[in-house]
Amino acid sequence: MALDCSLAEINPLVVTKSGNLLALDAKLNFDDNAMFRHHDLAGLEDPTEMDPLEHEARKHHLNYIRLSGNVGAMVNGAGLAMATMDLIKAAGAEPANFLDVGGGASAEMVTNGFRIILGDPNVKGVLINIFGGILRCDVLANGVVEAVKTVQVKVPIIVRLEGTNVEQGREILANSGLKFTVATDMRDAAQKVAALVG
Amino acid sequence: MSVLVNKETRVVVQGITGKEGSFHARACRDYGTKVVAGVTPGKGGQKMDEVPVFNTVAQAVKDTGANTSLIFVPPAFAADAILESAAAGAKVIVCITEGIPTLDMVKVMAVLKDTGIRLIGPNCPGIISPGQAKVGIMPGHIHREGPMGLVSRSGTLTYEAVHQMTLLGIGQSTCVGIGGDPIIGTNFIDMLTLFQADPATEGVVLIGEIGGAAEEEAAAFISKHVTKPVVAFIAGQTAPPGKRMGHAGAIISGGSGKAADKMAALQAAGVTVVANIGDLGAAVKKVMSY
Repeated sequence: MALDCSLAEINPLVVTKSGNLLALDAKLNFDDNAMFRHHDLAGLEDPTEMDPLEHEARKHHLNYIRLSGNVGAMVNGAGLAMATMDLIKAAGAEPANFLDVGGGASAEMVTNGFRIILGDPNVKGVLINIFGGILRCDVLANGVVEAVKTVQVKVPIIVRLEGTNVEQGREILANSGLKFTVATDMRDAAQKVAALVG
Repeated sequence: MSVLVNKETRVVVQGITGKEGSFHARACRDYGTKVVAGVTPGKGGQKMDEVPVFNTVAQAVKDTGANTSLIFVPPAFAADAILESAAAGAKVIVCITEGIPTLDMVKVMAVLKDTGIRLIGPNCPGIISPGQAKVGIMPGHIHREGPMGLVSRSGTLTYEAVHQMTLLGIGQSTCVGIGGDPIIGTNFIDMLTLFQADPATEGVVLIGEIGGAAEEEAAAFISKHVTKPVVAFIAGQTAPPGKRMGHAGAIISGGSGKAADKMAALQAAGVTVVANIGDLGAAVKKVMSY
């Protein structure tokens, strides 16, 4: 409890001949959210035990989980990111990752997100699904255009934008001179993903 | 009619002088919500636009009659912020903060138990009753007044669902994001109880995700106590086991918490479950015959 453990498993626990209790092995899981008050524990983390792309994402405060498919996804919000993975699968493809760029994603975070998604050589296409609430679509569109220019993206990109300032966002993408496929809604995005991998 | 918040709701924003706090306090006010006070310790006496800032929630409640708090305090101090507004007499507490340690929330819930105080969140987008009040961070303009209640563990996925309904001309009575953490103040059953009793709510949209057993518990409750139609979607049908999918509570562990089990439980309770999020709005339209 004092160390904010979410799991503490002691096995085997033995009683020695002198009557003392001795834990021979143990597994402890810690609450990531509580690491701010356990710097000693946070320092024990071994990055070589993590997927290198996941470790890179963590450095940039991006929530990224590597999966085995070939369609990369960049989404704002954990629930929408999961639903987008499901959509890719339903379209007959396999998601290459889970990536939640968060509600307040900046152009820089979008660029880093792109770099990490494309760091996975399996990725054959990227679906960007953003519901702009707090994050305005025009800001995001500028970030995507900037990212595609700096990261030198060679795979097709499908963008689905909705929400605040969506018209300006779509216009920025259309006028960028870059090749984006713009999807109008979630169903349309799914069909375009299917066409991409089919 | 609406549940939890309405035109009479008087909001105090904890953390109002921060970047997030000031931005969203303004957005709530612009939507028409009565934002009557802010709290930031040490900044009492200042103003955020025309909103007076106090050092404590107790003082804010005393001077402005605030009855609902909206919290944007960093994770290390957020649990204390919840307890402070509870002690000061807030009846509804909406905690937006993400990343509060689980043990802190265990302590908060022990204190709030049996007090009648309604905590929404943490790690949630908040509550909106379209046309009446917005106490949260959702984009207000995608909503529309109407008959559907909505309860969800997610943020942007909720906006997606709302947007699809609004485009089809289906409005919402109240939308509540209950949060993506393992320990939250209000669960599906609490919201289903409120929606079932609310005369302005004709049906409910429930958006769940992998991890825990909240959807299974909701299904058991629906089959016994909910007569209004329920349409549901569960995110994470393709999520791998053992990985935390963004939300602290979204993890399939030891074979439990899977999307397929949740979908089956809800279906068995008579709920219309959509497998593809793109079909949600159309499913609501069909089930409700709008």
